[in-house]
Amino acid sequence: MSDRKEKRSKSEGGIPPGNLGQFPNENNRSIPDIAANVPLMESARDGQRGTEKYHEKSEMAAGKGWGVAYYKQDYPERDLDDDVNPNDTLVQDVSSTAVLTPLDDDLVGEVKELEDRGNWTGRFDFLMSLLGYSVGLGNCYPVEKLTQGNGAVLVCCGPGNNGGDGLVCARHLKLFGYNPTLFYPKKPNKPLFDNLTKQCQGMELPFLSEFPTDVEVIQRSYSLVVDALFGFSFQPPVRPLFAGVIDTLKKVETPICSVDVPSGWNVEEGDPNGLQPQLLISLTAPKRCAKLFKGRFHYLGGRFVPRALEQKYDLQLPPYPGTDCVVELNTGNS
Amino acid sequence: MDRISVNRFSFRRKGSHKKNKEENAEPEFNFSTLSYISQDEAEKMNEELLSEYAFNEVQLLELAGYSSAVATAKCYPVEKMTRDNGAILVCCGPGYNGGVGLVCARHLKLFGYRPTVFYPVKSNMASICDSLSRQCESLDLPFLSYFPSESHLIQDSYNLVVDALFGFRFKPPVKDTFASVIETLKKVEIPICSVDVPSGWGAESASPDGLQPELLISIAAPKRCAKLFQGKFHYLGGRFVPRTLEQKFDLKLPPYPGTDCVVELKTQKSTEDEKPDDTGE
Repeated sequence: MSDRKEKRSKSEGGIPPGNLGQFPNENNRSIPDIAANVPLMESARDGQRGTEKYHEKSEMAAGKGWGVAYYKQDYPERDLDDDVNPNDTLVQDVSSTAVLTPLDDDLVGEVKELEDRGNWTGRFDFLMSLLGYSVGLGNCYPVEKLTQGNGAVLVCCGPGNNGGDGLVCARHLKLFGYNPTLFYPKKPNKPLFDNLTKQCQGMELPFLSEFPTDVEVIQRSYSLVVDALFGFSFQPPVRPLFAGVIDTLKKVETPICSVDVPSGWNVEEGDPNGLQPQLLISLTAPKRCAKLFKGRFHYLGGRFVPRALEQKYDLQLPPYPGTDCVVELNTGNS
Repeated sequence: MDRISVNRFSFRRKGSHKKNKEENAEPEFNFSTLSYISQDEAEKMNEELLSEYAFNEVQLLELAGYSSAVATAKCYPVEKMTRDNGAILVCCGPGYNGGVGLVCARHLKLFGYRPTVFYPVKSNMASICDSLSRQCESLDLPFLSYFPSESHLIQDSYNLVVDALFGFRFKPPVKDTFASVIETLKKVEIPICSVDVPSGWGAESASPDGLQPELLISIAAPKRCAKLFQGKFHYLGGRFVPRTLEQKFDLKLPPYPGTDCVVELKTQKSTEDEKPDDTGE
C-alpha cells in the first residue's frame, strides 16, 4: 500500500540514524547496509511482504563443502561502518517465506535495527516476540483472576503491522485460556493479513463488526483491552474511525495493554493526552516514549538480539531469565 | 544516559498467582487416556494446519523449535553441565525435523548453552532452512562439516545431543549419510533428546536400528511410536493446535500450564531424583 511506503520513508528520514529509542547512540552512524550479502529466498519475491526491497541472491548459501569443521566469523563488522546511501539500505526481511507479522512499518526504534532483524532473524523473531507479549500479559493478568466474561479480552487491531501483531497475540491468548474478541476494521489486502485473520478465525475468535462506543459496555464485557492499533511508525493524523476508538479507550477503566508503543503516541515524545495503558510490552528494546510510560507493568519481549549486535549498538538490555521470552522492566510506577 | 533498570524483585513475583491456581486446579489429567496419533493422522493434521487454519511452516517450526529448546533446558539445566560450558551437539536432518532442530539450536544459544550444529543435507525445504541456518550462523553457532567418526569424540566434547534428524514422515531404513551418523549416535553415553520421533524409528513403531533417547519432545501430539519410548522424560510441545482441530482428531492431551509452551507427559516412570528441574517457576 502506498500509504505505508510513504510512512516508512518518512520515518526513515525523520529519525536520526543511531537513535536507540531509550538509549541514544552518540555517534549518529549512518544506516549500514548489513544485508547486502545476504542471500534471498525465491519465495521472498512474491510480494507477500509489501514494501520491502530485495537484494540479489548471493552465493553465500551455496553449500558448505565437506572438509574441516569451521566456525563462522563474528557478525560482520566491516559492513557496519560504511557510509551508505540511505535509499539503498531498505533491508527488510530476507529470510523467510513467512506469513508472519512483518513489522516492516513498525521500525523497532530505528531503521538499523530493522535491517539487523531483516538480515539474520526474519519473521520468526516476531512470532516469538508476539508470544512474548501474550506471555507478559498472562503474567500480569492471570486469566483465573479476571472477572469479566470468563477472561474476555478485547483486541483492537489497527490497519498496519501493529494490527498484525494484535492478531498473533490474540491467537496465543486464546491458547492460554483467555477469550479474545477482535476488532479489526481495516485489514490490508495482502496474503499475510488474510492468513493471520484466518488463523484467528480457526481459533474461533469472533470479530466485532463495529466498535462499542459505550464505555460501560466495554467495561462490563471485557477484563482487558489489548491495544494493537498503531506502533512505532505511526504518523498523525489518525483517521476518524480510529480516532473514535482511541477516544473511547481513553475513557474506559479496563486495563489497557499496549503492543510496543501506546497507540497514537509520538514514538519519541509520547502523548500526555493520549492512551494511558497499564501494561506496555516493548519489542526488542524500549522506545524513547516508554520513558513517559506511567502504567504499572513494563515488559520487554523479542528475545533475539544477538550479543554482537547488542554490544555494537550499545543496547543495554537486561538478561532474560532462564528460558523466558519476556523480562519485566522496572517502571518505578507501581 | 538513562538506563532502564531490571527489577528482579518486583512486588508481583512471577508465578505468585500460581499458588491460587493450584488450589482451584482441575482434576489431574489421566495419562492412560493420552492420545497417540498415527503417521497418517500426523500428516493430515499438519496439512490442515497449513491449509484450513492458514498457518505457514515457518510459524510451526518456530513454535516447535522453541518448545524443544525449553523442554531440553528444563531437563538438562545448563548450570549442571560439566563439559565446555554447556556444549551441545544439534543434529539436523534434511526435512522439517531438521528445521525444528535449527530453531531449537538458536533458542538454546539464547538460553546460555553452546550448541554446535551438524546439518549436512538440506533437501526438502531448502529455502526455509537456508534462513534458519543463517540465523544460527549469525549467533555464532559453529557448523560441523563432517560428523565425528567415533562416539567417544562426541561424548568428550558435548554434554548432550539433540536429535532432529528424522520426524514423523520418516520411513525406515536410514540411508546414505545418516546411516553412519545414527550408528555412531547409538553408541554415545551422553543423553539424547529427540524431537518428535526418535530418529530411525517410524512414526508408529520403535526400531532397534534407531536411537534410544532419554528425552522425547512430542510436537503437537505424541505419535504412536512414543508408546514404546523407554527414556526418562517425555514432554509435549508445539502449543499451536486450535481446539477445533483437537476435537476433529479426538485428541486427549493434558492442558499446558498457564502460559508455558511445554507440558510434561507423565508417561515415563521416573524417580524423584530424575525429575526435571523447574527452575524459576
